Amino acid sequence: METLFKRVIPKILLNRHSALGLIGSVTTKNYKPFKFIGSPKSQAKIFESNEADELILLNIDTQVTFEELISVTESVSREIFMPLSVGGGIKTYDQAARIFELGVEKVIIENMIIDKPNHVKKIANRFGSQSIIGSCTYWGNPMSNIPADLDMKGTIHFTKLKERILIIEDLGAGEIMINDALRDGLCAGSNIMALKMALKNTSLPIIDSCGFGSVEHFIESFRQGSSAVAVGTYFAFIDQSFLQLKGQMANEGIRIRE
Amino acid sequence: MNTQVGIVNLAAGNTKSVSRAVEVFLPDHKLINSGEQLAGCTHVIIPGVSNFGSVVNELHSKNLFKPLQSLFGGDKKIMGLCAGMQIMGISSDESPKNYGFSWFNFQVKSLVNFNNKQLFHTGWNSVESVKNTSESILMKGNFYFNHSYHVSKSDYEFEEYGISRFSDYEVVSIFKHSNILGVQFHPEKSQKSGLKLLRSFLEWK
Amino acid sequence: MSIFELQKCTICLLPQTHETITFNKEGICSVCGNLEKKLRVSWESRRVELDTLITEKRNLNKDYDCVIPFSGGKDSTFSLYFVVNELKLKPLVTSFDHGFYRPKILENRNKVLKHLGVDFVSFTPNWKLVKKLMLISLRDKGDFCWHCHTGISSYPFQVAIEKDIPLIIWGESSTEYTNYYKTEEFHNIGEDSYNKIANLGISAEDMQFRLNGEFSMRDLKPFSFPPKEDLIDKGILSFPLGNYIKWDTKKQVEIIKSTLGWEGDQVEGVPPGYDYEKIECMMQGMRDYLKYRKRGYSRTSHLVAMDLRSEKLKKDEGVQLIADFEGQKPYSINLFLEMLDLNENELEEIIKDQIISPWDGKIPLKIGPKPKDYEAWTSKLLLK
Repeated sequence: METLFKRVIPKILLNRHSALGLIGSVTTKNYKPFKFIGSPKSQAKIFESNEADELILLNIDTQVTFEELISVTESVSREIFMPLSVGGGIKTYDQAARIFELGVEKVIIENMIIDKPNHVKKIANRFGSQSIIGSCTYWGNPMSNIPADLDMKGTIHFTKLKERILIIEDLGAGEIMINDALRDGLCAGSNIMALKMALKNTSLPIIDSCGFGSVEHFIESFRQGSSAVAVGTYFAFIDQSFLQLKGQMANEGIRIRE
Repeated sequence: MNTQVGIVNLAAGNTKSVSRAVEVFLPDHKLINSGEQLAGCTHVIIPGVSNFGSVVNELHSKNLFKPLQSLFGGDKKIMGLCAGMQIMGISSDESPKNYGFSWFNFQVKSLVNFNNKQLFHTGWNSVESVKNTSESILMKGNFYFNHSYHVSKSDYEFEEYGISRFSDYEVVSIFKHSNILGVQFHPEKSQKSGLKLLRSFLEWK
Repeated sequence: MSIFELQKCTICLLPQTHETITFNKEGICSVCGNLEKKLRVSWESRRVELDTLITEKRNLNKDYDCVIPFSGGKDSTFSLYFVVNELKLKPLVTSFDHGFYRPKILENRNKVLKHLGVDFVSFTPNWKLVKKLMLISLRDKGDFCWHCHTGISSYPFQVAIEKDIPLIIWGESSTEYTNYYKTEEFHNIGEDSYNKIANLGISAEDMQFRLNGEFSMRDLKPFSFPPKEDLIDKGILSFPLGNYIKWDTKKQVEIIKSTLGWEGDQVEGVPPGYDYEKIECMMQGMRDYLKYRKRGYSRTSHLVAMDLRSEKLKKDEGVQLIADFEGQKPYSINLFLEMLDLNENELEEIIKDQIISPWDGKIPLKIGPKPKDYEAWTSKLLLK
């Protein structure tokens, strides 16, 4: 995998804005919606202009329906010429198939791994392992309990992360995305301990997600061995575009696409 | 451009993305569902996600296999993407019972590590030119790949080609031979480089 | 890192925190590299291309040949001069009034427009909305000029569509000082540059969400880039003149000074001898100050870099100018704070999150001198 470029993947997180009556893009803190930052279609266009490597579109609002996710995915995919991964409430094989029909590269699945593992296998058989990102949200402090509201959403404890990663690999996913709900939105760095543990236990490429706040954080994650970083808050509140970020990383010797 | 392009309509969702990319340069293009529709085209694109057998079977079921196969060496320019490129060979380890166009004597082989475990060439990689004489179609740049079976550098002497390094492999990532352009990567997912390449194909006379 | 520890280009001294910069093995930056390619450009053949393009697009049945986005600054003034006198086109000159034009620039505009004899339209957006946008853009991106960047980038296109004008001709190419585009690319100015360079990663649709629904898309129209279908429909082509003619700032300033009576002005934080640069905006000093706090370099470095590249300055002279003029708090900071109803602590809170690593973003101690036209600024901006 060393020959491939490291990837920086912006996340567009969907949430309904009640006053505007529109589905917007939000940043999150500790996995809860924090601030509205824009329109998903417009943000996709901007990331395309700025030559992001890939794009992740995640529905994090249980009030946004699957049909609405399809609709947003369609409008986003029209604006971009880069790989798109979609997730958030994809519960069945049929739903995944409908997402692929839109020209999407990968589906991001999390709860399906536990609730309907056979569907995961079916997706792998029909569309290939490389079409599945197995996502795992964990509470990154091994010493404390998962907050009650995150527990209900399927967040697992740090101590259960290794076990979950092995299950995901076994079901035939092509990539694993690990999300630290504790560090999410805090811009203090990603969970390197979790990353190291994941890398030790699987040969699948790892997408390190949650917590990035500066170039140093990206660089550290890549140096440890992540294949990609997934970024929500970082681009929303800083005057630092993609091109600028890549320039800085290239200067530090990271193999990044320019 | 005087180009009339036809995109072979395959079920795997790739067609839509390829159409969108072609629309950047040409608002009108045809979706090819039958052999007769090939007649008015100057350029034909065969898309494909990485599944040799599925593509071959679908082409047969739509009665498109023989009409496309007969285009080799003719006036039309043909571009095959990913599996669309692989089917230009003889067969693939991925589905040994299916046969490709056999335009070129290559066998598509698996990508594996030293433990014989399947590898996925998924992500952005650079293409290096090995033999490139045409100024119009450049054989270098960064593109998005997503495949687990490949054509090896040693398999066939293409007129022009470029390779990409992945694990211990030198994968043929682009080749031009006679009226054929084959690319292992996805130009419709490779942003500016991909769009540039598509444009140069559409402008290829 | 302090200013001394940041890596700087061995030719132009721009630091590693500059947008889009990369360094090669010799420590030379990519912006210098881009310009090196410019030396190999055949300007004669590019001028021929320009003439061909214009002949293709020009239609005497339309009211105007082109839109010239105009501020009255050196670049748009030279472009307008060139379009009227050399290309002999009939322009509609447009200006997006961001609210901060200084007295001298308004005099310059008056003189230039009258000397050249052209039709002129100006648009001033809702001041209440502008102040709101300045606050959000400052808070979210450490740059209060969102309304200006987006308005200036969008307004000429809206006019071109409305009045069916097929060409929009801008001034300097961004390849003169950044790497967003490459010299050999002939980049056009349009939605891609709106999204890549102008809007700070926030379009008008996005701003609607950041305003929390307080203003509608109708209110944000002046800052919205029109749909690309409308541009294609009208066949509008938009490009910087700097793609086709060799850009020589000092020579061009001489021309507009001598033939049009254009005059320079003193800018906060800029050395004397550069009285032609960025003289339009009352907030230029604050803008440059924020850039300094975020990235550790600013207007003086930018000017010195351009002169080092064209060998109009020696390196030690450049270093001295930067040491003497960069990193000062502008006198206008209090006016800025009062206008937006902020105190300095609140500003520091905002700046703290915007600092581009590894720069340490330390607050400078020196305050710059009072600008000569300062009283005019206070009376225009503070409605008393």
